[in-house]
Amino acid sequence: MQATLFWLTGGAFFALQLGMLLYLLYANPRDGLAAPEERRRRVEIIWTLVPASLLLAVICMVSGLTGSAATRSHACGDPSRVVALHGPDAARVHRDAAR
Amino acid sequence: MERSVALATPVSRIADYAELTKPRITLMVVLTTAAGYYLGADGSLDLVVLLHALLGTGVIASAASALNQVLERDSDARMLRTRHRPLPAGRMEVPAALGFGLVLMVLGTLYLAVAVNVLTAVVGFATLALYVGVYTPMKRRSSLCTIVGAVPGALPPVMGWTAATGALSAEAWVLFGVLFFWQLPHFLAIAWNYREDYARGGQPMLSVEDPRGGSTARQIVLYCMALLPVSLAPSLLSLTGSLYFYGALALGIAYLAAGLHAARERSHASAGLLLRVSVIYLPALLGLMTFDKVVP
Repeated sequence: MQATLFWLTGGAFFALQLGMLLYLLYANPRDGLAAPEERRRRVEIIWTLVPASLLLAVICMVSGLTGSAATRSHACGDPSRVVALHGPDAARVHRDAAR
Repeated sequence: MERSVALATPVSRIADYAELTKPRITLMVVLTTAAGYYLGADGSLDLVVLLHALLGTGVIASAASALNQVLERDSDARMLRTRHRPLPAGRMEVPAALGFGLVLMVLGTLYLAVAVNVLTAVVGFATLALYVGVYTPMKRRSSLCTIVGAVPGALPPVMGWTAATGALSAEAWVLFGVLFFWQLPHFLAIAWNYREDYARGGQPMLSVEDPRGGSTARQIVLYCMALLPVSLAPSLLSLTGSLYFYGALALGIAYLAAGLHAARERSHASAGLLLRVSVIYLPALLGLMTFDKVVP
């Protein structure tokens, strides 16, 4: 349930941010804009790019950590850890293994 | 009469030095560092290391504030909100404030390196360098300074984490992300309500560059949206439990709702409400994090 909510909110909000970015890049009319307005448009593109890329980085990091923990459990061939590594404790076991 | 002035002078001098350190911001930095330390600590807390980390971080934060005020003394003098600070008000000389800031910077960095660990000292120095060396000069050039300034603002919990673990792990970066995303709607609300003051000070904040508020409104909503999933990540990384997860979800929805309201209304009152919600949000979230920490 928690993972589903994370992916849903993360995915939906990332899509909205991407949509805003594409709007600023392509849909917003650029021709004939005065220099200060064009500069403002560029600044807002950077403002929009930052949360989108950081959110993507966090999503990838969470995905990588929870995913790699499960993969490692199979590689180790330790059946007792498989349950933990597929459950909500996956990242913690991964963290402990890394220490 | 003369005696009372003579007695009051050292006291007011100390008060001016204290004001130079921006005590409320320093307290906030120390509290977020403590949260980072607690979350990073395995099992029992080493209170001595925690106290060293808090002291060193507090000294570095004070140094950053003092040096920031040295660099911004001219624009501070033009802004209603800041013109009573010790430097623009003429109660302190620049060399005294500069020396104070530099001494604190060296002391804080060395203290962290010796009493805590080198990594925390490096992160602490990087925080100060970004705040004073990049964010402060950028304030006169571009509204993007707000984003740059959010980086040092988000590093104190990372310093707490590195003080406890000696390493920069994924969990530390998630804490960084939470603090980073939280700050932007908070500061955009301040920038909206003080936009005339910022314009007077020659600081091109987003609300100054775009007086109709469209850009500010959009960015408030985008950063509130990004914060919500990032604030849920600690539970997915098994740093916190279910109570935190659902609490963070509720808080994130409230923050986003306040952000949407501010974006729609674009008024002093709605920005003030967003600011109040942001001030409640962060301690509540960090409180939940520490309360529902999963002990390894």
